[in-house]
Amino acid sequence: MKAKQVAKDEQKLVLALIGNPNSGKTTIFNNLTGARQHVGNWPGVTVEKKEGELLWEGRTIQVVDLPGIYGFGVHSEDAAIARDYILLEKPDVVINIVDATNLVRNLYLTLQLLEMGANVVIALNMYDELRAKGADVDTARLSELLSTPVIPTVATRGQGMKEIISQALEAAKAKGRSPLRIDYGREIEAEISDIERYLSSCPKLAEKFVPRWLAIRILEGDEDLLRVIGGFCDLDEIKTRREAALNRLESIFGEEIESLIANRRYGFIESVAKEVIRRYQATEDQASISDKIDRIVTNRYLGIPIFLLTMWMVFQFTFKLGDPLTGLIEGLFERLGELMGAWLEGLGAPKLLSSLLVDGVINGVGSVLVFVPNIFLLFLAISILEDSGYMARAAYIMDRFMHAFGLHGKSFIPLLLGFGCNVPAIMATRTLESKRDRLITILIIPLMSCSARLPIYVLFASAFFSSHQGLVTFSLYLLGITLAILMGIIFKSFLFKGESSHFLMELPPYRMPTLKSTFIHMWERGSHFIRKAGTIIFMVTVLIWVLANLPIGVEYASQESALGRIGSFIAPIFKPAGFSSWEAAVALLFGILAKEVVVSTLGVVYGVEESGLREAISQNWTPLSAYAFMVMSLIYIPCIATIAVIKGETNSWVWAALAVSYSLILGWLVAVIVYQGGLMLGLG
Amino acid sequence: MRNGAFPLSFLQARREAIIKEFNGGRGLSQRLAELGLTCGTKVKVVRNDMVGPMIISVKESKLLIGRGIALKILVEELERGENLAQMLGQTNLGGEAIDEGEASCEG
Repeated sequence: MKAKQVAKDEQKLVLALIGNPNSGKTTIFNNLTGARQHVGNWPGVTVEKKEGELLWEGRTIQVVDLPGIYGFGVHSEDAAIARDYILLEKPDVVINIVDATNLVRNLYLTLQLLEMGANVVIALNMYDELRAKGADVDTARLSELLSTPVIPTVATRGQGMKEIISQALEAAKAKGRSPLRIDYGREIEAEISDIERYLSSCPKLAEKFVPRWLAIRILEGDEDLLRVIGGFCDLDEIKTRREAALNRLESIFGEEIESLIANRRYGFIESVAKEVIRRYQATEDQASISDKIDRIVTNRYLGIPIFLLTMWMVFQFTFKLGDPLTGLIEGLFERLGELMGAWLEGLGAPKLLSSLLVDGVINGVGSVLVFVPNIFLLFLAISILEDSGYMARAAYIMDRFMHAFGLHGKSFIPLLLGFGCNVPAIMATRTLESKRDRLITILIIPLMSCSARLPIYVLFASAFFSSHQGLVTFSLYLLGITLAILMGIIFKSFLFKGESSHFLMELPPYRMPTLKSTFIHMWERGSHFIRKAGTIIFMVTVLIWVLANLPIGVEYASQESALGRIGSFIAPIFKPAGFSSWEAAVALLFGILAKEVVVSTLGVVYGVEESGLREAISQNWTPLSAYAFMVMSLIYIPCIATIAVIKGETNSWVWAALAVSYSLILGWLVAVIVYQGGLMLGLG
Repeated sequence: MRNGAFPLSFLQARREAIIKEFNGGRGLSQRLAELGLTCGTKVKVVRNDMVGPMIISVKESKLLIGRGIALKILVEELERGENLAQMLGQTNLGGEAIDEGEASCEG
């Protein structure tokens, strides 16, 4: 009790982690915080915010994981979040993770942090890989040149973590570091000082920010930053000075100033690198080995077969291994429901209560948990592909195909995953850095026919098209892909006009994925799904149960129940599509819960077991209306879990609502076209 | 012997070149700089099918770069002799900026 009090009174120290993508930042974050993590969103944006706690000598230290970025110059959400956090929240220490094997490029971000005046401690990570390349870094000299502590680390083996923490605590004591000054040359320096002088004259600004750094960023064209300064200074004055400065500089150099500034920074870094990097042994160039692998994996002829083989293995792994587990969970919950029902009956509990617990609660929890094996296994496979570096190559291979969708190669992976389950597919869009690409991809993923829709095709195809089952099923998958291409083009040209995105990404080096990081990756994503989607799936299951039982005393899910009445009410909408029975409408309604529920619902409303279902259907449908119904099942409204994930990932109900409404309209339209077209061709 | 500057998109696989100029907008040159692509930097082509994106290596990393961007980067190809001379003269891991290249960028 007393110790808790003390810890509370003491001001909590905040460490922020920042670094390039693939620098091992996540591994260091995991090492520092262990299981004490919290994943949320940064306010108002879709970027994930990870925080955690670190216990050190009786104190609790807060650790914030900032997005992986290469610098502050790009107008991306990630860069803006990192910049604003360091600038406005002022963490006590910024731990900058630097990939030692790619020192020059990584120090570009470091330099900007130091110019900002951040209290930086450098973790020189992957130091073992650098040594394996036959080189090392004079860390003492590097620390001296940058006047910043430098700690060599090997995050994958947990080396250097203690040193980082104690060094960060030291750094936290010595507040008020003076920012690094790089000489940008006489002409540019003159313009920097001019703006800096004006900024320094603004009341209170110099107390909060480093005016010189702000001046450099203003010259570099960071428009977003002006909003921060707006509270202190006259923005028009700044803009006038900036325009004048840019005109003067461009008349001298005949070139854009950002390039000049970048060149000066790299010039500084090169001189530092020359002094601190020691090559003591000539080993075979790792880059050339990686080049050789790349020549095979991205080969014009071998690339696609290798890629398809990899994807086939991923699917085998996910479903061959996952399906027995899914069956196990289903069986478990069925048994649990029976036991619970019998037990409640024995207690003499009211029928309604036992139905709520069995059909509502247990069914609800069960419908969340059946996703777990497939999703975790899929995420495990993806983590391995990502950590090994292959995923980025797959984006290259599929780029040409993806242009049909108006997207880049990177969107291919999420779309492909959609055939397994739309939920992890939408979560996998996090790897897309362009917001436009990400939203388009999220919106068309539901058109990828997920494995839950397969039972519907199997039922109807076997009832009506027994000799062409495979062909009919395949036609539906193909229809989904075609519509996805079509919608991709429509979204691109109407919704996200003008925002063109450049295809530019780093190909991380090939690495052997480590067991620990792969599992942490899988666990993070899997548990994220359970938390986010789980609650919503559960709530809707209960809601549907309530509707199926109202008014009180009605037979569960009969035509007289509230659900049956809703079904009867909406059924006429589907008349032009050839299936206007209330049973079909209710099945589709339930199908929003999870697509495979369409089949079991038809069983309930026709009052038959699954075995008698085929006959019941062949009496009530025609082949043409059955095909129209399959088309509708493919396209209409994504399942609840998918809707929940769209909301969670985009952080807005707008996109979830758009996904629901466009797919409903599209599904109806295509189903009607199929049915009416079929009638005209005399297929009815 | 130099052949003059041409877009990076036309540089063939396994050939090396020095970046001379960017024709992109404001945002692009900063984004490229963050990934290590500045005037005077040496780049090597790993894959170029003359259609679709290309793979280049720059400093110690590899980049996937869209043809649209590659068209906006002007480079001067290094002859094999120059490559060799540079390889022998190269002492540090990432130091590939060449002084004369930089001069032409700023001039």
